[in-house]
Amino acid sequence: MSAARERNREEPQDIEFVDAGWRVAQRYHADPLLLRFFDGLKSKQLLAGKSPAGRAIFPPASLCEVTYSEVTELVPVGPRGVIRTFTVLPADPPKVIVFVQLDGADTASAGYLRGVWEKDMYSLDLIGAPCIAVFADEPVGDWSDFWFELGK
Amino acid sequence: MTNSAGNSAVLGVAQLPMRTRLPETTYADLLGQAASKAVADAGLDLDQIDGLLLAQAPTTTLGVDEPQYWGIAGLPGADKFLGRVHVAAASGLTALRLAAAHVKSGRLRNVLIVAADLADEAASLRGALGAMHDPFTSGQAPINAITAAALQTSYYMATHKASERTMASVAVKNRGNGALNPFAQLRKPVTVDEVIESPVLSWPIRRLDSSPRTSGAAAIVVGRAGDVGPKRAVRIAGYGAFSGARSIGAQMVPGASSYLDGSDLTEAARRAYADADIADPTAEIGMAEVYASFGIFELLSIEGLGLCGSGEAAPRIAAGEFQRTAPLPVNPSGGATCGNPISASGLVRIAEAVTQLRGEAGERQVELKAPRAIVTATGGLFQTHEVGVLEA
Repeated sequence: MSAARERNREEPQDIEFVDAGWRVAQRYHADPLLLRFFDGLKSKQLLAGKSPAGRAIFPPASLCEVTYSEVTELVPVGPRGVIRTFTVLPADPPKVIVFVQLDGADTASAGYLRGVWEKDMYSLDLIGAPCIAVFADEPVGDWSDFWFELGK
Repeated sequence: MTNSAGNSAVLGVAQLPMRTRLPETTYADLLGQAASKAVADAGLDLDQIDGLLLAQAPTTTLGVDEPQYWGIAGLPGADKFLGRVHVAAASGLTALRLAAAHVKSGRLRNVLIVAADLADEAASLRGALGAMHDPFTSGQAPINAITAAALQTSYYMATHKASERTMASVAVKNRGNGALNPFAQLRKPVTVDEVIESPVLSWPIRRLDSSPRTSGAAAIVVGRAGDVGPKRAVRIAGYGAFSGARSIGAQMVPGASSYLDGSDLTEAARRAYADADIADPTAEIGMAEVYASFGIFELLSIEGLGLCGSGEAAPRIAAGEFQRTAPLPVNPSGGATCGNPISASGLVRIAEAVTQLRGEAGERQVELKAPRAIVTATGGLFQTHEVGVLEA
């Protein structure tokens, strides 16, 4: 799987390869609730979709995958939450990816955990630990606007 | 016969040796080779195949170009009944269910299922897999096959107090098994130390805990049990499938935690056992070939299949259970750890189980305490589960 290993492998001799790619330009349709969620980030709000049955879906989606009912309402969740699981990506310094269930949400969602010393990144005690969503000073309406830090 | 598959059976199997690269081969060549070998293995003539199911992901060529140009339509049975299944790595077993249902109904007599993967045609497998995700939510963090499995692994280690050394015993077992499998891509055994010292891909997953990038192909023929000699036919005793929620984050919370504890697979197994009339899998099953592109998949599969309790699979493998010579071997072929042509991997599991049930596995043959094998396949981020029970 390593890109470096892939590059280092020599091409076999006497075989003709045809270089071609699969680049088909797309214009993806965004879920309208997700666009409202991105808008909410600009005012440092974390908005979940609330299904008619009361299920809070974060990030929001216009269809509840459990009840198949239409979701139109947005409700604020967080900023506090609980880490449900995590992984550490090798980098310098390594990056911690967490799935956090924000207070009030019925789902967990991905993000980066910041402010953890490298020696503490591999502690399985992170699972179940309380954390809080922290916003950038000037959010722009995308995923880079917030991250998570440990703490109640 | 009251089960879903009726009297249907796997009549023939074929797999091609799995390799890092197959530079002199095209998809059409691979599919054709695997197909003709499986039909020959069944002892049938090509014109006795009256249905073809292609069970693989789209490739740039097969997905965009006209299929007949690439020779799919030239494969046995395609002129009579052509279908295609793509449920990622689960495709082979999904196709088995569809073929068995068609055979049971009497609509088709002999269905050929074939799949190939030329992973080496992609400049970077990681890049290709990374291109498949939701453009709106993927900005949260890089969630791909590796990081997603790592999220399950850390949860398993935390919940069951399993050390990295214990977790590494899965890869050690499988690489040892692969050394005896002539079809395997990786045939060099590894030690626990080598696994835990191999580079981190996404902690706790390391390179040796992960399946390699593989090109390969496999095919099977599904027909009626009575149509070939009793030694060759392996009956499809039952099957079950379950597909969970579309987002993994919805299955990581108290009360809905199937992504972390593997309970979607448990449901697929429950359905398969009910179909095959199996009450006690530990006593009635002789071996299992489970789809495990990472060690954690094998642990969740062993536990989800009811072969041991929750959290027990890792320490029990480390203690010598589920090994090739143990009473209930799991992945005696070496599994996907030793070669993972993703599209064809479900068919490889079936081909291996059938070969073992026939007693034709040569050096890697296991002693079967019961004449039944479980095969599994899993698609997406551990989201689509297929369980089949095969019986000699």
